[in-house]
Amino acid sequence: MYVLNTWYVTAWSHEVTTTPVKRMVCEIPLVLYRNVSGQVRILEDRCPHRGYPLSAGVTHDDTIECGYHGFTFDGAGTCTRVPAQSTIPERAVVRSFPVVEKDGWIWVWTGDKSLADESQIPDTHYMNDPAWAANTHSYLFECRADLIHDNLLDLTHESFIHTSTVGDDYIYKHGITVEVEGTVVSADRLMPNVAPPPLYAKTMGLDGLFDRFHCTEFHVPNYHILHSGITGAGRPREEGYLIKVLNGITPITANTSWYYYCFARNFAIDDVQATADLQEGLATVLDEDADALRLQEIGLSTRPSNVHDVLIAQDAGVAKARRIMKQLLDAEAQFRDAAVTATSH
Amino acid sequence: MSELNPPKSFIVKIASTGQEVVVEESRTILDSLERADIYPDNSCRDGICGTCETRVIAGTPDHRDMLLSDEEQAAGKTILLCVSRSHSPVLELDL
Repeated sequence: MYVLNTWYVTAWSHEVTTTPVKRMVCEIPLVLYRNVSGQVRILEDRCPHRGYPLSAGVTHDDTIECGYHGFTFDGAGTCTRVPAQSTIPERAVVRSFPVVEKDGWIWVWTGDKSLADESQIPDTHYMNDPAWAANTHSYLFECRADLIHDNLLDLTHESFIHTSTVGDDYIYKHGITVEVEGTVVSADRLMPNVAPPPLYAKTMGLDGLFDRFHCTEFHVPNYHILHSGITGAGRPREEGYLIKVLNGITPITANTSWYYYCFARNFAIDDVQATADLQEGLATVLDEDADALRLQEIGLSTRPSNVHDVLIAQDAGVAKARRIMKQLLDAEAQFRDAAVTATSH
Repeated sequence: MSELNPPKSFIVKIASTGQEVVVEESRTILDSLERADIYPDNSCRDGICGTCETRVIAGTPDHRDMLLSDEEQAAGKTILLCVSRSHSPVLELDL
């Protein structure tokens, strides 16, 4: 089950051109392309004629032509041409999806079109702001999206999985403060008077002791921004070396997910070597997470359904977020059931 | 969070059997149930994870957990057995 009435990150801007791109989001096959005026179009990736993937076809102006028999559809999914006959069958329609392109990410709305509200897309300006330097990655994770959410809300795993980059035993020794506002869960950890993480200490050109902090802000169901960094002992966070990590988590299937990642820093922003070193170091972090969550997915695949996680106090954010996720899923299920009941009478 | 009242003793009634378990002022509901050989699922025992969340059939819970939202606490339909207590002398639970 997926929350569908939301925007999911589905590609980087640079990936989408006039050549069709194939993606899957929440088990919905999608084709993405850019029309001649530069707008991104997203349609269901299946020709209504005989089910051939439209992504195997070609685009002309605003339209996409099926590679099998030439059925042609505009960006709204309306069939404009059936080469082998002069009339267009009524059912020759492809589902189209609302799209927003912003700061380098392309978001798709997978739910009820009438509910699509662009203002719900989070603030991602850090990816596209000269005051910040950005490193980006995208990864296919072989696990359910929920495991990535848990991973980001519980950063004590850094002490064990990311020992060479961002980990340290002091992380799990400090507790978190959890807050909820609407469907946003924040889990904040302050680690006073500690060494900076190995991955950034070099880029920051620092040694000595600082206040380190990280706050995971999970916009349930699919986006996290981590506000992290270090600052002088007892100093305000805003004065410090700041990092914003943007994480677009998009379910593909029940046990695969896309991870769209941007690491933005407000220090050493013109330092090309620092950017190169971080690119490699952050890939190590993501490789370590991808590997751990793949193993966790395997572990869960043989766990009986009546056995549940043994959550601890550090999982307070995880527990809150799961609750909100369940509420969103239940609300959509109720809405669907009501719609089914209404149409059957 | 509202000011906590000093803990008082109350009775938990088990809906499935009618059994009544006294929760003394020094013990939690969960501890008291376990002493009566009733073992609900639980995990953090700290009002955080929600594993021991149980439906309230009658009575008014005195919520002391950190998981339920203010609205959920006010509705009083469920309770976390590991930390929360009862405002009413008897709390009937779906156990």
